[in-house]
Amino acid sequence: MIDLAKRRLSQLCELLAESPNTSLSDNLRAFRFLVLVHASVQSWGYVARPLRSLHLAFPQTGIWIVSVTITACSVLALTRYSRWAPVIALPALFARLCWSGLWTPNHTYLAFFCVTLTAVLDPEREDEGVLLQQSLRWMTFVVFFYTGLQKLLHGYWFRGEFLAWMVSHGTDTWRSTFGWLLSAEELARMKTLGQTMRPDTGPYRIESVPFVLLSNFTWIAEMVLPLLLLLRRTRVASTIFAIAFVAMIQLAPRESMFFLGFTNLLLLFLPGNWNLRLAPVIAFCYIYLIAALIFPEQLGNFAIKASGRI
Amino acid sequence: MNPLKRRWVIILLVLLTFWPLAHRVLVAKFNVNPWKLAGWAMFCVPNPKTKVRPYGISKDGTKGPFTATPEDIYEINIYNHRRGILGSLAPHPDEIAKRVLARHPELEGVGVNIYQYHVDLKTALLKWELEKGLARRE
Repeated sequence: MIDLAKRRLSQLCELLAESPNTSLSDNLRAFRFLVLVHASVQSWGYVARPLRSLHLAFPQTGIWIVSVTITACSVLALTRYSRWAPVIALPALFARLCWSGLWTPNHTYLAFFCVTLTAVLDPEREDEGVLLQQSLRWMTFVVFFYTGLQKLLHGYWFRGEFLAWMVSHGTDTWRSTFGWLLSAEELARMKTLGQTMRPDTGPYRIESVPFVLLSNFTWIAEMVLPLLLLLRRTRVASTIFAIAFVAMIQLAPRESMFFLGFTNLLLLFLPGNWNLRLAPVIAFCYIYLIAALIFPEQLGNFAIKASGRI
Repeated sequence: MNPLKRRWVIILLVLLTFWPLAHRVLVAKFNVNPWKLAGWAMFCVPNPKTKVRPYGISKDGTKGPFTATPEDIYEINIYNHRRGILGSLAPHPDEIAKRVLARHPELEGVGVNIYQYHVDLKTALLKWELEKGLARRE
């Protein structure tokens, strides 16, 4: 069984390995494969952990069909008919958007837009490949920049109100990630606040200077890093820093799904074929994630707290 | 490349670029949930939760709980969900009160209280906002 898995993994690596003639199209094909795997794992996540909402457009069986379809498309993306993979996956993904309706997580929209672009533009054609890469890079910039700008516009990060709220009312991972920045008394106060939802309780503000600095660093980095990604001179360094930064900010909500999906997008900024080179590693992480969703006790709940639902 | 295809992609990207600003306006004006609808504003504010609490008004005018039917519960849950995401773009609470009242001939009226919390930026205290809906028998 293990030997068979190893053989399959090495076949996958061979298929995705960089060849001397590797071009932009190879990298974009790897991106397309990974984005389909992302959408597929997200769907299986709903099979493993059904969404509890009365608002779903069709029964759970529909999600099985969607998941099987997108998974088949992920496999198809590795064959010579790969051009058809996003084209077939797109209606299935659209059905999933309709299924979850207003509940649709933002990450699903992001995956949907990526699949739409890969369905419309063919990486095999040079001009379309260039436009596809530019479009995906622009989308990454937009999403990254707005996450910072929205924090600035809403104003809950200047004095750490949002983080204070999450330390109080969020999952324990928020407390373990930020708790070390607080004094024992402040942490105890936040824990107590988390046990009630009565009006006029609070304040959700923390005096710790490092805590407030970290809060402000987050939104500033989310606005500055995408700008640095646009500049050729700073692109490589900012991509590496951005991947590390996204990994860091996912420590608290444990949105591993977003980290993998966004890393796939960020890698498009690096010269060379990094999506292709890292495709086996990222694909393995996705497989691990779906296995952890099905067997959280055995494989670790640590990676899947939010499981692609924000 | 087909110029139509190029134009289509550019339109999509332009929409994606400006939608978050429109989303911000919707959040400010209609209390739409910032975490939803692709505005990339998740983790910007404490995730707003809404509670919809209906009550009955009996023939003698007293307000109190009533025996909700499964249809009432379903409808109230759906409304709670819509309200939590769409804010005041969801139908007015009078509408839901009217529909619940139609199923309860024993009541003179039905009221709906909608509670939504937020952290007040000036004081950093938790505040609950209350909006009321009411339907009376004509």
